[in-house]
Amino acid sequence: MSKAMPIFDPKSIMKNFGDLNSKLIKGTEMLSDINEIDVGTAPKELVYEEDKIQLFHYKSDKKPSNKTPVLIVYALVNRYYMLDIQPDRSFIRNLLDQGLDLYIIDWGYPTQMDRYLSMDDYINGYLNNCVDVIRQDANTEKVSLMGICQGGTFSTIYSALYPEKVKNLVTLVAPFDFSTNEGLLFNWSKHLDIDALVDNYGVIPGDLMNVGFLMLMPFNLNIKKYVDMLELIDDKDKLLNFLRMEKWIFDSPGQAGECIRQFIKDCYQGNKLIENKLVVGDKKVDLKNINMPLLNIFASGDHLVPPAATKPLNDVVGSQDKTLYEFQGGHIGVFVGSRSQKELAPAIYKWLNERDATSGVKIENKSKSNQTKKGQGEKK
Amino acid sequence: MSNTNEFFDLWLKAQNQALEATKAVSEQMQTYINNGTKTTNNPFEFWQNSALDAFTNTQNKEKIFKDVLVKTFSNSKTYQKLYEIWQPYFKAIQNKSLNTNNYKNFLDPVEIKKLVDDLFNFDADYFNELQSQLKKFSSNAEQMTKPWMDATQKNINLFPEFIDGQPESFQQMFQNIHAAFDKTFVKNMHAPAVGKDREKVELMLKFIDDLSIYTSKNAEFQHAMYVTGLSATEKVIEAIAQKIEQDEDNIQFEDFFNLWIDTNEKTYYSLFQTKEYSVLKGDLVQAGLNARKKYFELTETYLSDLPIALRSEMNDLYKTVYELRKRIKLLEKQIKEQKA
Repeated sequence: MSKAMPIFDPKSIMKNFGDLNSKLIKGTEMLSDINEIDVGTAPKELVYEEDKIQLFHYKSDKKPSNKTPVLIVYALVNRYYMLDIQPDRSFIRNLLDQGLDLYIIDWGYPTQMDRYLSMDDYINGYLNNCVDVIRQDANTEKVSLMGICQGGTFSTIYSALYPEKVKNLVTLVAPFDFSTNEGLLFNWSKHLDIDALVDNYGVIPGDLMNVGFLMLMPFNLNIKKYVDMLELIDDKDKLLNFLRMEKWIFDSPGQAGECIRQFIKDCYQGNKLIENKLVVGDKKVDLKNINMPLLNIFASGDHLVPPAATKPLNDVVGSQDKTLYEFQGGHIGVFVGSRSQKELAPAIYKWLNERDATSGVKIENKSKSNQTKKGQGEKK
Repeated sequence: MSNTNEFFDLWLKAQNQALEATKAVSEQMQTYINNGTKTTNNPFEFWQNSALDAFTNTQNKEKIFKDVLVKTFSNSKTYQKLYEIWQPYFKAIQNKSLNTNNYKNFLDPVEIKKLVDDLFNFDADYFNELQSQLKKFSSNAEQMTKPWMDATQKNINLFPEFIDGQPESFQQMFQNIHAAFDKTFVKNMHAPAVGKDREKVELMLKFIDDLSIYTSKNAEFQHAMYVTGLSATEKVIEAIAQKIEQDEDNIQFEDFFNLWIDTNEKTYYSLFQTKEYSVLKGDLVQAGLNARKKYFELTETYLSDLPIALRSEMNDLYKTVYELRKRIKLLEKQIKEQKA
């Protein structure tokens, strides 16, 4: 370590900080120019509302080629417009263009008045009512469910409780086996006194949840992201996309106390779902009751819901037609990444469409790494 | 870079050029620069503060705009701060004065602690003040305890008379307790001897206890975070030393920044995934929630005489509304099914 080192050249450092300074000025100017951050712009109409939840039906110029309507069930912890975050990278628009008939639930923003809402209310109440509305609206016996993250867990529970109403079940980056220690959230939740949290807050503030999410990668999410942002400050479109994502990240609804209490206790801490011990309301959840075709999608680089939490679902359901699909990317990349647009959305459409015509048709998973020891990507 | 003045001179020059290029914006900023309330000898930071003031005071937009700008400026400062902290180390490399024995001397642990404080929102002033208050309370508590100890001793002396069935001894015992209360709680908190106010005092004591536990847990938590921060710093030093050994002579500050981010992220991740951290974090959250709960209970006791709905009463109301709503939905569903 004694030799002279020409590293950290003063001139380059001056240039570095000078550039940084200029970018900050430019950034301030750019932010002044942008007046609105538009998200969730795909046209839709309100078809049902109950308390604070709303059910929307997406409109499309194209007539759906798939007969069975698809209900998208998003997580309670963030807003559903992640799926339609920007017009040129919209999972929703992509699926509509493919030919799906889409509905989506907006869970709304719970207030203190909603602190007693439970998983029973969300699943046996709101979700079941929305499914019934769509069945009536579309004049069909069954709908397909597409559950995302926590919404995937809820959709799976629903499908086990009401299999007669579900034609196909698609789950994306959803947790089912909570015994894993691979994800930090899974570790931390096991030692969280959820009773104390719910008794204190009633409705857990979204900001409080965000602190936990940011702690998963504090240096990248709190520092580097914003320093890197200055690199795209000259490009208004890219800056706007950055702002859209920021808006989504920090637009976090509070969590109804009784619902999150049961979700943490029975799922994260008790792992009751995968063990068929979960009871929602007065109904016992038996995953063997899931007999419809299942497409279970996980992301290989998911740090929020690790694959180990997702994959075991296919081993415990009663379905004969079940597909495990590996997406190479992270939790959010599933919806906004370019591969998501090019590969995943068409694959979901194809999978659903083949089961819309004749059930039980297998689909090839384009992802090569899907060929694991369990033979994912093929009908099991 | 021969000295710090030269560094800042060059820096000032660079930003003057940048300011020239954005006259439209700088005109607005200038007002704030002239009337700026924040003072600093660092022109870069001075400009940042002024620009931030200008934007946040004049723009009427979604909150996210301001949040992003504040975070961007704040993290640019971190970027700059990082350079300041590591500058002595870089200089030592250039002056050939760095060796395996002295490399730690070029980094200030206090500054590194400040960075960790900023990142994880540890408010050092707040906790120092809290600890000082708890210490004062503890000292007061000692003074408060003495009359009670005396009263207890007197009552022990009276106890044989009490069990002998002398009723006046019971009266005397009560008076001893009453006197102790007078000398302590009444004196310190102007509280009467019995009734609701005694509940307040008891609750206050429990709250202080919970706050002490929280402060203690927080100190334990912060210690774990600081130790990890120092460990990460040593790893960064080792990584740079390795690059030097490998004759990598074109390391830019940006490379260093990325190395610093990655190393810290990995080092903290190693801590975060341990069971010990999860338990500590869980204990800290629980301790904080316990104190918070007592605080709200205490607040309610003070507000209970006022004609306002309290949180606990509202919770009861919410529960009733929830149950009624659920009942109505069920009845509506039954009617609908019957009609069908």
